[in-house]
Amino acid sequence: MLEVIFRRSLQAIGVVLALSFVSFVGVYKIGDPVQLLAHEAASETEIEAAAARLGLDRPFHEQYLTYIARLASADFGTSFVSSRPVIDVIMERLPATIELTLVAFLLSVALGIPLGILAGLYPERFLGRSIMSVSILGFSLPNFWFGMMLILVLSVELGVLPSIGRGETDQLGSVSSALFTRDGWAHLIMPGLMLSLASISLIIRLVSAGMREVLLLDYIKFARLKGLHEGRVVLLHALKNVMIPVVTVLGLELGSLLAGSIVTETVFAYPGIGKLLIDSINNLDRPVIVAYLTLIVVFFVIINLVVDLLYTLLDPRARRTID
Amino acid sequence: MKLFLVGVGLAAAVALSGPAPAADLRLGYAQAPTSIDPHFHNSGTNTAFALNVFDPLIRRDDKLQLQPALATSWTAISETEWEIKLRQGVTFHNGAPFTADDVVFTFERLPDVPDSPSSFAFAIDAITEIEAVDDFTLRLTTDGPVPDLPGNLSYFVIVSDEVGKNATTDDYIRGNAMIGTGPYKFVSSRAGEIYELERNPDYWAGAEPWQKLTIRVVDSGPARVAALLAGDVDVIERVPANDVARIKRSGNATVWSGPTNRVVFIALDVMHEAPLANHATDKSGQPLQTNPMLDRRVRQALSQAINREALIDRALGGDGVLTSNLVPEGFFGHNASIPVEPYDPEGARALLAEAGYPEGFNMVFHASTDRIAYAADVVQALAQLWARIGITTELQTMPHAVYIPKANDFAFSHMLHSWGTGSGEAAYTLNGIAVTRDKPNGKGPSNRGRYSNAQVDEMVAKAQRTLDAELRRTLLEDAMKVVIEDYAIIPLYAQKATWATRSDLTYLPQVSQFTLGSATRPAK
Repeated sequence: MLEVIFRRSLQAIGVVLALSFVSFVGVYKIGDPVQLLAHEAASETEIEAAAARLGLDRPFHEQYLTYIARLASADFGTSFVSSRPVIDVIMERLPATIELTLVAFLLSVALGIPLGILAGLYPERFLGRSIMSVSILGFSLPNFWFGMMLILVLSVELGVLPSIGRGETDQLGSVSSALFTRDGWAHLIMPGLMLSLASISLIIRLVSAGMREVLLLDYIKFARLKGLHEGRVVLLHALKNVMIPVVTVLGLELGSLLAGSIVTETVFAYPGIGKLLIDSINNLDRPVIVAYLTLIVVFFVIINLVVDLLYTLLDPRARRTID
Repeated sequence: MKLFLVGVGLAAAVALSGPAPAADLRLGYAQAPTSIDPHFHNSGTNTAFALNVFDPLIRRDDKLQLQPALATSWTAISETEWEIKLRQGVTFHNGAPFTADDVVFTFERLPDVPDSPSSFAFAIDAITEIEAVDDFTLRLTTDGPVPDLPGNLSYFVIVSDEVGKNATTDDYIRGNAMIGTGPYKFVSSRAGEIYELERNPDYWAGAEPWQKLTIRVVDSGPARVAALLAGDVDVIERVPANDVARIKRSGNATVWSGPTNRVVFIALDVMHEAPLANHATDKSGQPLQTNPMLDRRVRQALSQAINREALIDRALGGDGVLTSNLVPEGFFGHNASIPVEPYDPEGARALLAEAGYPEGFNMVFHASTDRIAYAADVVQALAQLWARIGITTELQTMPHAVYIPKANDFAFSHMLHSWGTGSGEAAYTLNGIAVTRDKPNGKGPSNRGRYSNAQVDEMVAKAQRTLDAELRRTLLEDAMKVVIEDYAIIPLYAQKATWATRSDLTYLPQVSQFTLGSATRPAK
C-alpha cells in the first residue's frame, strides 16, 4: 500500500511538471499582460518599466526556470494584477469551492444512488420511467440555464433563497466554513443543485443500468432462494457489485465538479477558485492561472489514488492488480 | 386581526417618517477592483472604488467637470508655476488633519509603488517640483506650460502621510492603510467578492445618507439583474440592454441611463503599402497589391456605408448616442461644425468605383467582444452594411486579453476600438489615438492603425503647451476636423451607461461610468 502511494506521488510530480510546462507555454503565448493592464494612455516607457518589474522582459526559458525553481519550494509567486502571493489568493478562495463541491457531491450520491436503485428495481413502472425521463432532462439541460431558472423562481419570484455570494461562515474547531451556518447552506443549495445536476443524472443512469444487470445474475437468484430479505439482497449483495463502476465515476465526477464549478460560480457570483480563474484569464494573470491548473492536477491525482484504494475494499480481486 | 395589522402598518409608517433613518446601501459592481491600494493599478473600477474612501485634490462631477475637493483653488501664477490652495479643517478617518504634507507624500508615492502594472505617474510627469509654502498652500513647478495640470490632478487620490509612510500595497489590501478623507471609512473586504464600508460622519462635504456601504462583485450581467430583482443588492451597473425592459416591468426597480465619455470607433491601417497577409483580397480571393485603406475614398466609403442610427437602435438597443467627433458632444475640443456622416450606400459604392474597386473587395475585420458592450452585435451589423457596398467582411473576434497585445503590434488592419476621454477634453484623446506613434515620448500609445498627419501632430502638441483656453480650443477643434476628414479613425457612436436601482432610490448617471455610493440617494 505504501509503495503504491509512493509510486503515485512520483507519477504526480511528473504530471504536474508536464502540465505546468504546457500551461506556462499556453499562457505565455496568449499575450503580454502588461499591455492589457496598462492604462490606455500609458507611454511605452511606463509599459517597459512595468514589464521589467514583473520580470516579463526576460526570455521565456528564464521565466519558466524561475517559475519551476520557485514551485519546488512550494512558492507560486505573486499575482501580476494584485501583487499578492498567489498561494494567499488561492487559499482565500479554495474553501468556498471545496464547500460547493462537497455539497454537489453529496447531492449526487444522496439523490443519484437511491433514485438509481428505484429506477433499476422498477424499470417498467411509472416511478422508474419518470426517474429515467427526468435524468435525461438533467443531462440535456444546459446547467447555466438551470441555474438562472433556479434564481428566477427561488430568489426573484419567491424570495426564499439569496441569489449571489457565499454565506456567513462559522468556526468549528480550527475549521471555518459556511457549512456550519444556516445562511451558508442557504447560499449553497442552488449552486450545489446546478453544479450536480448532470452528475446526479449520470449516477442515476449508471446505478439503474447496473441494478438491472446484476439482479439477473445467479448469485442474486440464489440469495433470494435462500430466503434472504429482499432489502438485504438489493442493498448489500447487488449494490456492492453495482458500486464498482459507480465509484470510479464518482471519483472522476468529484474532480470535474471541482474543476467544473467555473460556470456555476459565475452564475451565482460565488467567490471560489473557478471565478478566480476566469478573472485571472481575463487579466492574463499568469501566476494565478498556472497555479490553479497545477492545483487541479494535484487534486485529480489524489482523487484517483483514493478511488484505486477504495476498489480494493469493494473488490478483493483488485487487491492483487493494484499491487 | 385587521386592526392589529393596521396598527403595525401605522407604527411602521411613523418609524419611517421620523428623522431619516440611516439605511444601508449595497452596490453590485460588474468587475472587482484589481487592488484596493488606490495607487497600485490605474483602472476605471479601481478609481471608482477608491473614490468611496479617498478624495482627489480636484474632483470630477457627473459631467466630468472639475470641482474643488481637497484643493479649493488652483491658479497658474506663471507659464510654469501653479498655486494650489488646500481645504482647511479636513480630517482623515483616523482623526489626523489633512495638510500639504499628505499631498507631497502622495506625489512621492505615485511613481514608486512596487510591482504596479500601471501607475499614475503619468499624471504628475510634467511636475518638476512641489513645494509646501505653508500647511494649506502648494506651489507646483512644471517643465513647460501644462494646461492639463488641474485635470491631471483629478486622476489620483490623496493618502495620509502619517499612515502611508511605511505602508505597502499589502497594508492597503489588509485595510490598515485604507485611511482616507472620503465619504466612507473602510471596514473590511474579501478581495474580488465583497467590500464593506461605513459612513464617515465628519465628511467635509457633509455625511452620506448611508450608514453602511457594501460593494459586491457580480460579473455576469444576468446574475447582476437577478440579484437586484431578488433584493440582494440595491444598485447595479452595466445593465444588459435586453434586461432593461424586464427591470422596468418588474415595478420594483428603476433604470438610470446617461452618456459616457467613451466613443466607439473604427481604426484602419493606413501605414502598410501592401495589405497584411490575407487581410484584404480581391473578389476572387487573390491578395490585393496595394493596401486599399491607403485611399481616402475607400475609407470614406466604409464610413458612408454605415447606418449609424440603425446601428444604435438595433445592435445597441438604443444604448448609444450619435457622434461625429472622437470625443462626445460638450467636451472641450469637440468640433460642433463636423456633421455626423450621413448614411449613403450609393455614394459609398460610387467612391469605391472611383478608387478602382467597382466590384468591392474582401477584408478581415478584428474586434474583441468582452470589453465594448454589444461589440459582437455591432461588428455583425457592420459586416452586413459593408457587404451591401460590395466589401465582403470576414469577422474575427477574440478575447480582449489576446486582442490588445496584437493590435498594439499592428497585427490587424481593420479594427473596432473604443476610447474613453477621462480628461474631459480632446487633447488627451487625440494624443492617445490620433497622433503619430512615438513610443518613448508617450505620443499615440493607442494609435493602432498608425495614422500619421504632421499637421495634426503639430496642432495637438501646441495645444498641450498652450495655457490660453480659447487658442487651445481652436487648435483642438481644428485638429479634430482634420482627423475626422482623413477617415483613418472613424467614429461610430458614443456609448451610454446604464444603472438600475431599487425603485425607492435615485442614481445620478456618471459620464465616467463610475458607480459610487455618493451618487445614490433615497428617492423623494
